[in-house]
Amino acid sequence: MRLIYVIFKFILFPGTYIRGFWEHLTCKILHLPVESEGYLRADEACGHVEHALATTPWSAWLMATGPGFMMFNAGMAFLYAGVLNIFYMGITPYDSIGMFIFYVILIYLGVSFLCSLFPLTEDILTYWDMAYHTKKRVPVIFKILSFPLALITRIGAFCEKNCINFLLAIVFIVLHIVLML
Amino acid sequence: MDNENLNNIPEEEIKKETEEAIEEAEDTAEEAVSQEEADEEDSAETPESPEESSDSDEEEEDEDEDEEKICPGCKENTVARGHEYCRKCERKYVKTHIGFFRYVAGAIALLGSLFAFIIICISALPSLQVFEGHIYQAGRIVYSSIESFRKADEVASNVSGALQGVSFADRFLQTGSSLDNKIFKASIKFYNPLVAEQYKQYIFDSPGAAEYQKHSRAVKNNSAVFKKYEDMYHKVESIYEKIVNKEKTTPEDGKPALEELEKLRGQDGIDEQLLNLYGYDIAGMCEMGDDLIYGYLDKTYETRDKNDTDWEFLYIDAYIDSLIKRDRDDEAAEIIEELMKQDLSNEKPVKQFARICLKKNELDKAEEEINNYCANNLTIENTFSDTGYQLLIWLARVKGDYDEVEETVETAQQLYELIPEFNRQLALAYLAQDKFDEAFEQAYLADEKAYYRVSYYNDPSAMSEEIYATLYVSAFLADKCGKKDTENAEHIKDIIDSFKDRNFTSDTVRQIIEGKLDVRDAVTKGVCDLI
Repeated sequence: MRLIYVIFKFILFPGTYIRGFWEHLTCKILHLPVESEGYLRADEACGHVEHALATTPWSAWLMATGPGFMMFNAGMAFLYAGVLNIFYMGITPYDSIGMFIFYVILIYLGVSFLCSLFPLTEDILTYWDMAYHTKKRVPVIFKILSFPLALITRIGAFCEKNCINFLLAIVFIVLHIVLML
Repeated sequence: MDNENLNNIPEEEIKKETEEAIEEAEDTAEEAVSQEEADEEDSAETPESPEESSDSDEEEEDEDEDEEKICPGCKENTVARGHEYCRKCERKYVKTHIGFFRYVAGAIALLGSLFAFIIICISALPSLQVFEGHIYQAGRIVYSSIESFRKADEVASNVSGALQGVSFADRFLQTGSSLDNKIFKASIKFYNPLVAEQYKQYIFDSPGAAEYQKHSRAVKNNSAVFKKYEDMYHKVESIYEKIVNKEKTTPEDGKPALEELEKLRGQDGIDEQLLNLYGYDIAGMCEMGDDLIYGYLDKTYETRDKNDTDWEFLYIDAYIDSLIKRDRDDEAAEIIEELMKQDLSNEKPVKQFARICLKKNELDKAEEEINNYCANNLTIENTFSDTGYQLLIWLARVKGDYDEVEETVETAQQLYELIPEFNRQLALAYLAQDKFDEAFEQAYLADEKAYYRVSYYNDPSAMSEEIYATLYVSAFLADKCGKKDTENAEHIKDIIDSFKDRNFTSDTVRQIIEGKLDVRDAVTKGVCDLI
């Protein structure tokens, strides 16, 4: 599983690299020590940075969802810019090879960004423990509001760890190609 | 160290004592391990009470806290409580810099995503139009889906016009061949493969469309169907054209033609269904009697499953009409129901169903079906065939609510100027009220609009047998019973003369002209083929 994980991470390297960058930047903003700062590595931390766990609920929340938020926005923008033009506006290689390749690259970037959406399980578990298990001072309203996103992030982190999101990405792309035909 | 002694003890003795001590220590350790294992087994067999276990947990935690953790970074210093690294490593790790190249990559990603977002904004409106088309397609409202797909190009042009100052916008506002292909596929479904093939060049108007067509499966398949139809026509051309080219045909002309046609049956490359269809055409044109005409239609319908290509689109309307005329309403209703399921924007089966209802005097059912149809189609701007209003006008007319007819026609005409059917229906409403001159005026307007569409929009479907029939009946009745002093009087005579040698397939027209059928009955009862 680890091998598949690493292979996919390398295939979708733009998202992997940028995810690492956003995580690194978040650590810097939160003054969290970063031990290993390589973004493209052949282990489970590929696309992430090894860092000390957050000590406050706010920093744990930011660490778990902040980079994902940036990746989601960028990923959706890339993906839909490509999808709208290829699948809706109907651009084909026969109309303009250059534009078609450009849109395909946008879709690839979008998929690669969206496949690096979720944090390491440790990051989200840190927030989860602080918010829902220990007696840290997290306002109840924030606990309630953050629950859906925290749950999605937790499930997503699990899926990413087990390569399920890559399979979903493949299904998504194949479905779109079939629809286009 | 001196080899001789240590504290005056000979070296050999020291060695011996040390070895004994090691052996003793090893034994003790082994005993301790075996004891621990035994304890573990015991604990597994007899679970501890919660209190005991929590006590032992607390003890373990205390021990852990007391233990000094080695820093995973330097693997030398100890880690302070609540920290993951030693003070030195922590300071070092917090100060790590993000390289310049990484900032550049992050900035590129950010700017790239902003640019992608601009592309989305630019292409959002035409894409939404296409999305609307997909929704209609999923809901089996095929005509509306075609209209939505077509409008995407128009919307793209409008957005492009609005963004004249943005030089790069045009590049991202182009619709491509794949969208043309969607329109083509929907056209095959809504019109028929032959019409779609005829208008292929107008549908595929994108820059790379010519090349795209060579690779499109839909285009290839449809071209094969068209070729099959053409090949078959070439085989019967000589027989068929003899009848078509005659100014006036009689049943005697039809006999030898049908015999020749029958000789072809069973030969290689002969499509049996199309052969039956040609038989039906020839029998119809030569007025060879309902039995023979309907016989060919029945045969056409019976052979529908034996062919690779079913030519349903060529005969199904005529077949349903024939079933209604022969009082086989249930069979007709069954086929109509199937057709209505396939395409909710096809008004023909709805109208045929309404005719059955009219015949059975169940106008409530007709009204319900028409209202269902209008719920799906009335809000859609169908440039040339707003069938929803047509059905509403039809319903008001057969119900005898002529004020409603005029109101609906007025509303519909404000929205759509070039639909002849509105005027034709109004003409029929005037005929039912014995207003023959007004009826002629409206029938003439319908004919003019149809002619305009044929000439300027290259749309032969606008001109129908029903328009000619209505114009002729209106002119005939206006001449016979209308006011003689109107400006139209001369014009009416010209129109009647122009129809002199024409063979009308409509029974109703013949019966009205011969005085066998009252025009009011004709336009308000279900058996009439004028309505």
